Amino acid sequence: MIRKHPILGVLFAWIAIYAIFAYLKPNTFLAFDIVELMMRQSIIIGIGALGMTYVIINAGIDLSAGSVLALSSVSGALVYNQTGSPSLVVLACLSTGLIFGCLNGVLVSRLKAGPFIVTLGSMLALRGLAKGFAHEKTVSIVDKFVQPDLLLFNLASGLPKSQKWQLFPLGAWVWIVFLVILAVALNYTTFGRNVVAVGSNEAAAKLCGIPVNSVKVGVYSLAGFFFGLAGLMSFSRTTLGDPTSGAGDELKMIAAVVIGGASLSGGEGSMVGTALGVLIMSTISIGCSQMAIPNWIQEILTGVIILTAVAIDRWRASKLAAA
Amino acid sequence: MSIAENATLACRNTFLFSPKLSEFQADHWISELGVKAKHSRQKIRELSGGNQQKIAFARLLESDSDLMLLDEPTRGIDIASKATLYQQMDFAAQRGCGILMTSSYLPELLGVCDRIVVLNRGKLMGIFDARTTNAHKLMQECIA
Repeated sequence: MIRKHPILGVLFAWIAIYAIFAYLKPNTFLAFDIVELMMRQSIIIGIGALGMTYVIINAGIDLSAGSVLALSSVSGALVYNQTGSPSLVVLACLSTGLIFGCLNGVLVSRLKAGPFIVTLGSMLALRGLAKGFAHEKTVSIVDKFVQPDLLLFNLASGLPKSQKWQLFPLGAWVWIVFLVILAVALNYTTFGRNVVAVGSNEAAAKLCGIPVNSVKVGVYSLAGFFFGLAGLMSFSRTTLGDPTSGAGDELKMIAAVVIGGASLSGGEGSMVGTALGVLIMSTISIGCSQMAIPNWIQEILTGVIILTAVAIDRWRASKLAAA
Repeated sequence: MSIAENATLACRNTFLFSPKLSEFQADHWISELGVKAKHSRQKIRELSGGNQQKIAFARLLESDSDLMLLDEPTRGIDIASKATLYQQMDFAAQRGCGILMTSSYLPELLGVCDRIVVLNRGKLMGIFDARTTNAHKLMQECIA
């Protein structure tokens, strides 16, 4: 059954990891508060990984995710300092992501140099741009606009007692809603099916009349949108526009997508798998810090889990090929 | 990708994609063309080359095109399936679909085509009516 439904394997892995921590520290891990903490810590990587899943299913990769995230949080902070308007901040973050995602898509489909090289270039260039906009320092919020109670600054923070009925902060709900939308879109729209088709065999997809280049531009724009949204969440959590934020986040997103059962050669992967991949990583990170396990062990554990996920994936692929 | 997704890849321009509908359409072609598959949700890469070829042909038929370009359509397909394919090409032609096929197997061309064009090193050697020509004449043009 697991061979046919790889998501179940990821689900069992998450449950197993959670169960180990719950056994070691039942008081913490059997309370709802830890689930809320886990969701809050997953928001930024989780939202970014939504876009990354589409890119990887499309047989691409986007290394500029962390830089777009930083650029988005810087532009959010700059716009907030100019206008004090939360809705303009949201608009600034999302459009920053969308514009640079679109640019990535155009470059990937026109340059034909492979998405790894193209987005490596834009990763460096956009990081530089973010630092330039921020004058090489973090943009903090000007005093007259400091409003800690504003929803904009509580998208990813713990809920006060009076709002506990919401279960998770708004940012986590945004993640869940987009997760459902993208999962449905992947399976029930022509665009989603084209994304898979281009990812599994680009040449064949082209011969079938699928507009390969437009699909790619669409996928990278969509991904950019979610990196921008992740940047908004980062700005919300830190209340800073930090041009160095999100460095290395692209690799965490890619790791989550791979743990979730996607293949880096494209054509395979699922949104729910990715979400479980994100939860596995944050379960390990929270579990280790609750157990006072040092950071370096946590990093080794995450690495081992990624390697295990890839090994299982290869094993499954060879079994299928033999069947 | 599944057989169903592959068979309907070329023909959907609607916003929404219905897996149920595409499975229904693919099931039709699986029985019509005698594809050896468990069900239409099976991954296409699990099929043999000949059966993959049939699904690729089903994709053309499903897209209801006016003109088909077939490059060696029966290569790697067993004899019984070849007959099915020829029959489907005939149905399509009767529907008004033009078919341009290339083949390196002369008996096949003589059996299936109305007209045969011989190209020799990029030069047009002649257009022949399949009913009045024969393999010997065509071969002469090919090696001339």
